[in-house]
Amino acid sequence: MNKSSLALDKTREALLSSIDQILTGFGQPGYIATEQIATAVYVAHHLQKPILVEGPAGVGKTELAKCVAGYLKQDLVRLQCYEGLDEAKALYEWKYGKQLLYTQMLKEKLGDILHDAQGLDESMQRLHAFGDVFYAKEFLEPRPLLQALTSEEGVVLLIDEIDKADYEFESLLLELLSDYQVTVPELGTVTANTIPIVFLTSNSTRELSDALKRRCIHLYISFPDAELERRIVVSRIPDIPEKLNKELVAFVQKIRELDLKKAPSVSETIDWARTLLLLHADCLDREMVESTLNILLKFRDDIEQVETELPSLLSAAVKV
Amino acid sequence: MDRLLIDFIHTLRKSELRVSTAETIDAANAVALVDYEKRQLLHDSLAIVLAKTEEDKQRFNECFERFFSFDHFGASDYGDILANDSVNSLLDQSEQFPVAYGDGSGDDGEGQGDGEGEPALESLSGDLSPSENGRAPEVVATESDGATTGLDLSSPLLQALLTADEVAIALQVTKAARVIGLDKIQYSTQRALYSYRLLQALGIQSVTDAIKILNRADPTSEKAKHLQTAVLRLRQQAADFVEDQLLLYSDAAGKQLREDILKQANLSRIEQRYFETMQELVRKMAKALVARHSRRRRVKRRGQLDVAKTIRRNINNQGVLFDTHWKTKKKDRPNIFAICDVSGSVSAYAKFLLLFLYSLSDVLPKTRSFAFSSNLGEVTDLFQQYPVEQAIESVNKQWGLGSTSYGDAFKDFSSLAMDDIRSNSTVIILGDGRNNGGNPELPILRDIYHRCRHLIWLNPEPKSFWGTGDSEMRRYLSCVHYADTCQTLQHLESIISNILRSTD
Repeated sequence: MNKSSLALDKTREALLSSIDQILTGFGQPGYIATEQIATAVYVAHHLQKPILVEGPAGVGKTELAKCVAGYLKQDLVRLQCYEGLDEAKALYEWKYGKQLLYTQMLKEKLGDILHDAQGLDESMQRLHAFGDVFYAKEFLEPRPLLQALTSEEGVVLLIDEIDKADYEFESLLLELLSDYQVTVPELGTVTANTIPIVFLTSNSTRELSDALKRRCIHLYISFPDAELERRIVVSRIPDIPEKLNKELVAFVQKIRELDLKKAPSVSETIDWARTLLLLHADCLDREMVESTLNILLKFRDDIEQVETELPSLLSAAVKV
Repeated sequence: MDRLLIDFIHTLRKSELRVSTAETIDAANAVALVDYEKRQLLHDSLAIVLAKTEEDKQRFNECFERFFSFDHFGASDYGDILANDSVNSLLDQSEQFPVAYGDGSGDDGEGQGDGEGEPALESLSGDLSPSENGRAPEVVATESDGATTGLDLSSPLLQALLTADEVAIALQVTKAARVIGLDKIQYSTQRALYSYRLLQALGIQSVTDAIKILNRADPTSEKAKHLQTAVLRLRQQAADFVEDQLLLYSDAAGKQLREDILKQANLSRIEQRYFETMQELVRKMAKALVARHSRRRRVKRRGQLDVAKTIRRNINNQGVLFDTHWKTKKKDRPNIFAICDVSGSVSAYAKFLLLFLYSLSDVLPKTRSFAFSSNLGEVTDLFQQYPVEQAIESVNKQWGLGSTSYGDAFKDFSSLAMDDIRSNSTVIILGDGRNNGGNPELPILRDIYHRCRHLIWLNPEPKSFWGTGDSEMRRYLSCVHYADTCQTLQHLESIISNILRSTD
């Protein structure tokens, strides 16, 4: 229940007050969102739930979090997950060096504190009265998750590629995701000052636990359709000729239908468009495509497969 | 919270979407946020709250289309829709499960019709409808009359048993099953009850009476002995029949129940059409095993200080050993050698063992499998290249022919893989140990036994059959670490779980 009692950021509230507003707002930094995405952000904000974003690589999962941070003008705290990530790297760590210096200091000053104490009992009492600062906030080194919680103004927290982390780490996240708090055994519970907007991304290399999924709302982003992808390309490269844009997007969409090792992602479409523009192309021609195919496709086998089918693919793309 | 949403969530749960209570509350909040006004918006927001995998999203979409497929969301309208829906689902079920009794396709339409109209869960008291109820005791009564007046061979069951007419017995069993309403069976706990009823309806009483009379007249009567064994077989047949019917009819009571039954059902008795469910089940069980065992890859050896690492870590602290580092031990995953008898009766078990092992590739990356009937060959590649169904088929085609010879198979195995068996290897042999009287090649097995960490023998036969006839099981037992009967998925799961645990 501490969720509702927390002060919510007023500007954030205003910026996320309707789905249409989110849609237009996202367009400005150059992120073309579908209605589903905007709905997810809207619902997540109002239900105060983290968003778990899944989808193939390169559809803009991480970009979404960056864009939300940019739109809300809030800091993005990013935690990249990997195998072996533990709480010392994700949550907090004690500053051992400083703690050590403190004990040495204490040893030196011990004489001053205890010099007129009578007997062992009184010495002990004085020592107890002295206060235990060894595990104090000053010695706590906050890592991304704790930073996101303790930040005064709201932040956007991105936990990237959660599927790469271990099972244990998932369990570690549960308290954070459901109650926006973490428990440091030596200090007690740290509750969020302002509830961060949390994004988790996953490439589904493994199934996430049900407990984690239950705490999140789930957004699946697939490859955009042709119309949306054209808009995305234009928003990133405003001076691209319309004909080229149309043809190259149609071409990429055709390629994605093939059985490839790795289908070209949206970011690769954009890179390819940039390359073609650099080469002063104003429409797709065979030679140009052949020589730049390696920007779109990253596997030898994929390139060979596309090259053999290039004529039919090209004619289909140009026709559209 | 409104009823519309709750009913929708019920439909979702019916189509196997797991929606928790917490998610239901989320959904209610989301609906309060976006309202029912815009269909697409409602769809999007419910989808992100309720469906949490790609497959779930698809199922969600289907459900949503069906449930909200009318123009305006009036509460009066959706009641009708829901009613139609439930009727449809009932019709679907009856289509999937065709009439069970092969011979009575003409006249058992009524029983089937009754089942459709009635609610899925029916109390046991309703099992015997009055008309049938009247018939069953009649049959028993006339036969017991016959027994008191002397030996009456007119009982059709007695006739069939005496002449060992399999077809006639099967017919009798089927008829009796219809009389007692066996198609209403739903729980595995009802098996004994229905078996008993089935035997009563068959008129087993008349047969046992006949045996008594025969024995009284002549204690060494061949006929009585013959009948006695026939009755024993009949009891077994009846139990099997009831089990089959249980698999067939328990569907209405839900998938969970069916899965529980399948887990306990004898693997060789499961029909082809359940294999898909079985595969799904195996994957589910495998996933649970993976989750249970993948997290223990490193074990802290508490109390053993890693001195070198501790010193290196504490250089910052002016050499004061402040931040200690304890020794950890990385756990080896077992490498498994599965040797499967794929001849006739055992192949069904081999199929599931292999399915299990390959579903566990996350925690058991180093599994090699071998198949044999007379000669043995490695089939690891087949399973890595093809889907399981296909792989099994080609394994059977390639290795399943010929008469079983454990001796030859062990010889082949020793030349193929003996050198790779090390102290962390687990060897699983799946077979009935029936060697057709050939050389058992015990020394080879003993060699394997000494090299590996565990040698496990899984035998589909019950223990009382081991060593009977051409079974070499008793001799092989001297060179295995562990041998057990393995008839059901549950057996398999517990055995594999033990293998994983033993290496943790």
